[in-house]
Amino acid sequence: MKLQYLFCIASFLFPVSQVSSRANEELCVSNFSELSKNADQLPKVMSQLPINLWLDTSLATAAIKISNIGDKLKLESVVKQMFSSPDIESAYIKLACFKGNDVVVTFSNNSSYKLKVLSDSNVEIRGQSFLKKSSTELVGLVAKKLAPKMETGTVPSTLQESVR
Amino acid sequence: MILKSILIILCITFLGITLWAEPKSKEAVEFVENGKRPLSDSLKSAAYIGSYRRLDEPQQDLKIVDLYEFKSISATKMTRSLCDQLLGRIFGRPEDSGLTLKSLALKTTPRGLICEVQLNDDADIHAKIPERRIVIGFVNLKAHAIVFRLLQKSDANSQENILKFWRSLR
Repeated sequence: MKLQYLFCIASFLFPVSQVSSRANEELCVSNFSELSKNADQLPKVMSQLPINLWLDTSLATAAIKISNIGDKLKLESVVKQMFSSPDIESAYIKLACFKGNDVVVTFSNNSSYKLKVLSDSNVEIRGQSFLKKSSTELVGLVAKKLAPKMETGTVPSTLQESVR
Repeated sequence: MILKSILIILCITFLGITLWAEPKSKEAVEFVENGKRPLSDSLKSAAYIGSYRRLDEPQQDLKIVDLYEFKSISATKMTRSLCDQLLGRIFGRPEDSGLTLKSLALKTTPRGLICEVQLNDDADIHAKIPERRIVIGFVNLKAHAIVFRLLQKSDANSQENILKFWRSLR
């Protein structure tokens, strides 16, 4: 009986052991508060908002930004694929689930984005390796590589501001 | 007799292709099927089937039109309740979508009732897409929606332009 009490007290006093075992458990967050609260359990590249990701290959150029609007999480993307015009899309995030290096982001319309954390500065989306950038760097890259050729919009300055 | 059978088969095939394919526009357009732009298409709902690129449209904001097709809808007439339901299949539940419903109106057109909707992203003052305008209705007996992602707020001219594109669909 005393041993049971000891276990009880120990589990209360040392919750850290539970946290470390969560590396392979799924952790889901649905808003900014939950994400901030669990930041220490998330992959470094995903633990702080905004998350700015950049891809520039011969086939596609893309900027992706995950940020918080109040307590809601939002993903915005500007994608230019070969032989097509830049395409701007955005959606609010309903749920983001983390399990090891895999992340599944589910949007309000139930579509989803799968990401794989490759390192502290690389994330893979649909087989493409995105580089983490600072907000300033991303603004510059979007202005240089995507905004001047915008087809879905005529206001690159607004786009640049919104990426901040 | 054989000729008659062949004609019937051709007729059925043509009708099948017409009903199966996306609605055609009387305007000059290029249709990009869902999946051709995987990074952008991933954010769209299961009802999304592709986007039109309006080749002769000078206004940049109105060039790209997303097309949604709703299967298993038995209704053949637009109602407020059907409009709400189909809007949910594009953007999710209003409380999740983060978008504000600015207006929703049923309008009579020569080809039946349509539902015209304006959704704003009011929560995000820096939103890249501050406004989305949606038209939901029936084309070729199937429920469809077109969505315009506007990078600046619409005016009367652009709203009429959007309705004009809907009317061009066959």
